[in-house]
Amino acid sequence: MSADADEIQSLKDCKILLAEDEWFQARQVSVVLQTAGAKIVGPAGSVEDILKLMNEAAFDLAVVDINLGDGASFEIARNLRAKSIPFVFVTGYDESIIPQELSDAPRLEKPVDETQLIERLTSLAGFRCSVVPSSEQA
Amino acid sequence: MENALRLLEAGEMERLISSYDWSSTALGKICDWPLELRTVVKLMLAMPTPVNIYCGPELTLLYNDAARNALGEKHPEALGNHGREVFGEIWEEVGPLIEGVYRDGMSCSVMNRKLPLERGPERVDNFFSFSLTPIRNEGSGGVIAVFNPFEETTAAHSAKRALRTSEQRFRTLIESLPQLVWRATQSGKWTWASSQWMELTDQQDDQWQGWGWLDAVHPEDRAKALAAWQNAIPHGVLDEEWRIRDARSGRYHWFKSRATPLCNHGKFVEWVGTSTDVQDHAEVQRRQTMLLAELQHRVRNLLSMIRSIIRQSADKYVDLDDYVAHLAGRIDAIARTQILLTRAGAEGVDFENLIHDELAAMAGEKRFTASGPAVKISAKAAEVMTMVVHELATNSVKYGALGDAKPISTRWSAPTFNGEHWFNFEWWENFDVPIAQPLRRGFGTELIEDRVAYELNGTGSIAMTATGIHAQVRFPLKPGTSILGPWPDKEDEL
Repeated sequence: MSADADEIQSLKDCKILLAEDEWFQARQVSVVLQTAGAKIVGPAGSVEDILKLMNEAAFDLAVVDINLGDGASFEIARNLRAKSIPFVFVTGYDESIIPQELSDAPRLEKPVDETQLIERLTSLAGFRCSVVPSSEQA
Repeated sequence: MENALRLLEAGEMERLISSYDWSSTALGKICDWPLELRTVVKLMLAMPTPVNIYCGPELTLLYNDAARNALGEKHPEALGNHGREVFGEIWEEVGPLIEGVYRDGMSCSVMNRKLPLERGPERVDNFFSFSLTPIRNEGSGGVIAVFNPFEETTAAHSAKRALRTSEQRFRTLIESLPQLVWRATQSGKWTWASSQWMELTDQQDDQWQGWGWLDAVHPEDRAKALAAWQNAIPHGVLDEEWRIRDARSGRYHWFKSRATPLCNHGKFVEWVGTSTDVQDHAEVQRRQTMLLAELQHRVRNLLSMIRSIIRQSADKYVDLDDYVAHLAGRIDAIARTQILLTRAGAEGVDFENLIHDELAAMAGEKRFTASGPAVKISAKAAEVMTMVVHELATNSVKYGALGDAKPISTRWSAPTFNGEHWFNFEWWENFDVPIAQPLRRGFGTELIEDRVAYELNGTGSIAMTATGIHAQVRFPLKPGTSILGPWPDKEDEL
C-alpha cells in the first residue's frame, strides 16, 4: 500500500498552475494532480485571472489550455516561457495551430489521458521540483 | 453550282448579243452602231473579268459572260434593257455616277461600295469596286457609252469585317473578364495590359510597361514575382501568387498570376498571362481552416467535459441504475445545448427557447411558468444555464414539486448594475408536504454555486427549506463568441 502511495505521489509538493476555462475539466485535473501530491495554484479560466495569479503566486509548473473561451491564445504560454517555467499544453486543437517558438512545449490532446499528464509533469518536475528542499515538507 | 455551270457556256453573251433584236431599241441594228462602240463591245466580250457597257442616252445595258454571273436572276432580261430598270434598287447609288460620266465625259472609280443588289430570292449586302470610263465617238467627240469593268468584293470585305468583328469581340471578351490580362516579352517585360489593369492600379500605359508593373506589386512580394519570372522561362509556365495594390481602396489584394508562352511554328512569340483576384478565395479558405480547428477543439472539449462529468457524478451515487439515468440525462442536456447553439449562430441563444426546451423535456409544458424579457445569452452561458435548469428540474422530479405534480415557476430579467448588463434568473418551487431535511450538497448545488462563478463570473445560490426551493443565478451578459460568428484576425489575437 505504501509503495503505491509513493508512486502516486510523484508530484508531491509540486505547485502547479492550472489554466482551464471549463469548470468540470478544471475540477477533474485538479483532483488528478492533487492525488499525485501536487498543490494547485488556481485553477483559473480567463487570461486576465491567470496573469494575475502568475504575478501573485509562486509555482513550479503549469498546465495550460490553449483556448480559454475566446479562441486560441498563447499569451499565457509566452509569459511562462519568459519566466522559464515549464508547462504542458492541454488542447483540443491540432498541432498546427501552435506558433513556431512554442512548438517544442509538450502537448496533450483532449480528452487528456491522466496517466500521461502525470508522467509529463513528473518529467518536467524532474528539472524543477527535485531541487525544492525536502525541508519544505516539514 | 449554277454559276459553275454557266461558266462552262463561255461565249453565251456573244451569241445573245449577236442574235438580239437591237432594231427595237434606241441603239438600232448592230451594223449601224458606231465603230468605237462595236470595238469596245468586242473587247468586253473577250475580257475574262466582268464588264458592263451602258450605251446611248438610255444607258442600255450590255455585259459579258463574267458579268452575267454577277447579275444572277436579272439575266437574261437585263440585256438590252435600260440601266435604270435593270438596277432599280441601287440606281440611287450608281445612277448619278453613270449618268455623270455619260454627260460630262469624266471617268471615275469606286472602291468597296455597298450595293444591296437584288439578284436572287434574298437581298444581301454586296460590295463592289468598279470604274466608269466614257467611250467617245471619234467624229463628234460626244460620249456614246460608259465602259464599266467591276469586281465583286463582298467576300474580301466580309473577311475583313469578320476579322474586325472578331477583334472587337476578343477585346470585349478580354475587358469583360474578371481577370487582368497582359502580354510580356520572354524575360517578363510587359508589352500590353488590358484596361482592367489600368483601372485597378491606376497605372498609365507608360507606367506599367517593361518592368513598371512591379511598382503595383506589394514591396514584400516583388522579389517573389521576379523569381517566378526567372523560373517561368525554363519551365515554360508562370504560376505564382503575389499582392497587387488596388488604387481605388489603397489595399493590396492577393492575385494569382499565370502565363503561358505563345508560340508560332515552334518559335516563342510572347507570354500571355492573367492575374486573378484570389483574396476572397484565400479568406474563405482561411476561415474554413479556422472553423475546422475550432470544431475539432469543440468536439474534443465536449468529450473531455463528458468524461469529467462521468467521473464527478460517480461518487454521488450508490445505485448503478440511478447513476446511469442521471448521467444519460446530463448528456442529453449537453446535446440539447449543442442543438440550440447551432441554431442560434453568432448572436447568442434566446433564453426563453432554452428554458422551454429544457423544462418541456423534464416537466411537460403545463407544469411550469416561464416569464421574462427576450434576452440572448452567450454560447458559454447557454451551456451553463442548460445544465443548471436540467439539474434543478431533475432534483425537483426526484424530491420536489415536479415529483409531487406541483407547478414550478421561473422568472428572469436583464438588470443593469453599475452600467453593466446582467442576467438574473430565479427558480421557485413549493411543497405541500414538508421535506424532513434539506438535501446534501450534491452535483446540482456545486454546479450552481461553483460553475456559475468559475465560468460566467457570476453568482449562484440554492436555498432549500422544509417547504420549498429558491434558486438564483446571476452573471454579467457578455457578447457571445461563437465558432459560427465572425472570426477575429489571427494577427490581432496572437
